[in-house]
Amino acid sequence: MPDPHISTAKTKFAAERDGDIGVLTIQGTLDYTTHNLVAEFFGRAFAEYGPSLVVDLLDIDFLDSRATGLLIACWKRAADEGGRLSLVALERGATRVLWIAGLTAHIPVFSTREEALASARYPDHS
Amino acid sequence: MGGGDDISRSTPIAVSSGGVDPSRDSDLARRLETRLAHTERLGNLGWARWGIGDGDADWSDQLYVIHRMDPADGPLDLERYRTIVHRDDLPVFDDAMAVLEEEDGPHEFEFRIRAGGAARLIVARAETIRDAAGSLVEVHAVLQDITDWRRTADQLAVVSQRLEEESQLTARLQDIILPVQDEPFTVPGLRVATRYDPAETAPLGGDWFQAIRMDNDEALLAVGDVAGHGLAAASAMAKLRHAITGLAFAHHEPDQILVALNRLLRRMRPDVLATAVVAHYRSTDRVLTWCHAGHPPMLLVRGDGVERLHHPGVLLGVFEDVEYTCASIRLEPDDLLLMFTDGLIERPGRDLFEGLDALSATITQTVRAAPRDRLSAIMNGLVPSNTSDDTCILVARVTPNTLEVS
Repeated sequence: MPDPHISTAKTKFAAERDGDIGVLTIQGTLDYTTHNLVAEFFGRAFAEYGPSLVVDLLDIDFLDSRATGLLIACWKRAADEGGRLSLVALERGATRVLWIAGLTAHIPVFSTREEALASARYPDHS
Repeated sequence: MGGGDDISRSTPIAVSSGGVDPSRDSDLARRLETRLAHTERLGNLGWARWGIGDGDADWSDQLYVIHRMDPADGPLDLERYRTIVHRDDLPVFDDAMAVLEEEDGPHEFEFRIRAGGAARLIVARAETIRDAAGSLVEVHAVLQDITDWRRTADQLAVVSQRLEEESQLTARLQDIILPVQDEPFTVPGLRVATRYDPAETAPLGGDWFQAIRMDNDEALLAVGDVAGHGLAAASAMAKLRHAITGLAFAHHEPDQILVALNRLLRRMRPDVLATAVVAHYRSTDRVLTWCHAGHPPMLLVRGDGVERLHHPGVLLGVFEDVEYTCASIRLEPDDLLLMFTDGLIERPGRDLFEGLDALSATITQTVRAAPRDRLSAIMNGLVPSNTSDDTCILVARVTPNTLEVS
C-alpha cells in the first residue's frame, strides 16, 4: 500500500508509524471542500495503522462543522475497533472550535504530540 | 494530442535573398493545408463555393463529413442542396438566397438539413461574388454543423431553468420553515430583532432562531445551527425548532431542552450534528438562564461595553448520554443580548474569539455613536464574515420600563 500522504493546495496530509500508533498530521484547511480527501485519508490511515491514532491539528487554519463531525466519527470508529484516537490541538486559532463544541471533555486532546504519544502508549496512565 | 504537433509548431516564414526556394514553398503550402484541415475538423465547419445558374460547386473535405457524403460523389450544387434542407426551414433558406441576390453579405442564417438519415443543424455565413454588371455569379459560404453545440446549449438552458425554479422553491421553503420578521417584535420584557442571511451558494440552510412568549413574563430565546445545507439540513433544523418550542411550553429549562434535543437527533437524525444556545428570560427579575451546546458565545452589551456570555456544553447529535448545566445572569434595563451563528464571526485562518473581538469592537463603535434606536443600529451594523455559510442573528433589548414585581 502506498503511503497515505495526500496533498492539495489548501490541505497537506502526512502519516508515520510510531510503534503501534499511527501519527497523522493535517495542515491547512479542513472544510467541506476538502471533506472527501480528509475522509479518504482517515480511511487509509485506519487500514494502514489500525485504530490507535494520534492526529496532529496544530497547523490547521480552518476547521468547519462538517470536518469536526468527521473527526468525531473517526474518534468513534477508533473506539469501536478497540483503539483510541487522540488529538493534538490548542485552545486558540482554528482548533478553538473543538472547545466551543464541548468535545474536549469527551475526546482526548493534548497540546503537544509527545504528550499525545505518551498517553497513547500507556493509556491507563493518562 | 500527437496529431496536433505539426500545427502547433510555428511555421517558419522566411524570404531568402537569393530568390524563392520551391521546396520551401510547397512545404509552406502543405503546412497551411494541414492547418486548414485541422481547423475545419475542430470547428466542424467547411467551405463551399457555388456558381449561380450553372450547377458549378466546390466543397472542402469537411463539408462531405458534415453532410455524410462521399467526396467521390462530388459536391451538391445549390439546386440539389436545397433538396436536403428540412422542409420547415426552406423559407429561411430561400429568404437567405433572396437576400444574397440583393446584398453582398456576409449574411448569416441557420437551417436544418437531412444528412445520413439524421437532422443536422447548420449555420451558414455566406457572401457573394458579382460580375461587372452587378449580377450574382457565385456564393461563397462557410457552413458549420452546430447540432451538438446547440443540443448542449439547450440542455444547459433546461438545467439552468430547473436550478432557478429550485432556488425559488427553496427560498419559499426557507420562509415557511423559518419565517423572518423584518420589524422588531416584543416578547415579555424584551424587544427582539432577528435576521437570516442565507449562504451565497445555498438558499436553504440549517441556521435557525426562535423567540417566543411563554406567558406574561417569560420568554424563550434560541439560536442554532445544523451542519450542512440543503433539504437535509433544513428538515433537521425544522425538527429542532419545533421541538424546542414544544419543550419550552412544557416548562423545560434550557439544560433539559438540550438533553431532549440531543436525544431527538440521536434517534431521528443520527446523520446530523447541530449546535444551539437556548435561553429562558424572566422579565419579573430580569434573570436570563442559558445553556450552550457546542455553540459560540453570546454577547452582552451594557452601556458601551461588550462581554461574552459562554457556558460551554457539548454539541448536539454526537453522544448518546449528555448533560448540560445552566448559567444565569441578571440583566439591566437597556442591556442588549446578541445570539448568532458562526457565519457572523467565522473566517478561514482566524480564531473564533478574534472574530468575536472584532464583532465586539464594531458594536462598541455603534453604541458610542448614541443611536436613537440601539437595537436596529446594532443589527444594521452586523455583517456576516463568512458569506459561504448562512448566518442567523437575534438581538434582544431589555425593555427599560419593565416593572419589577416585589
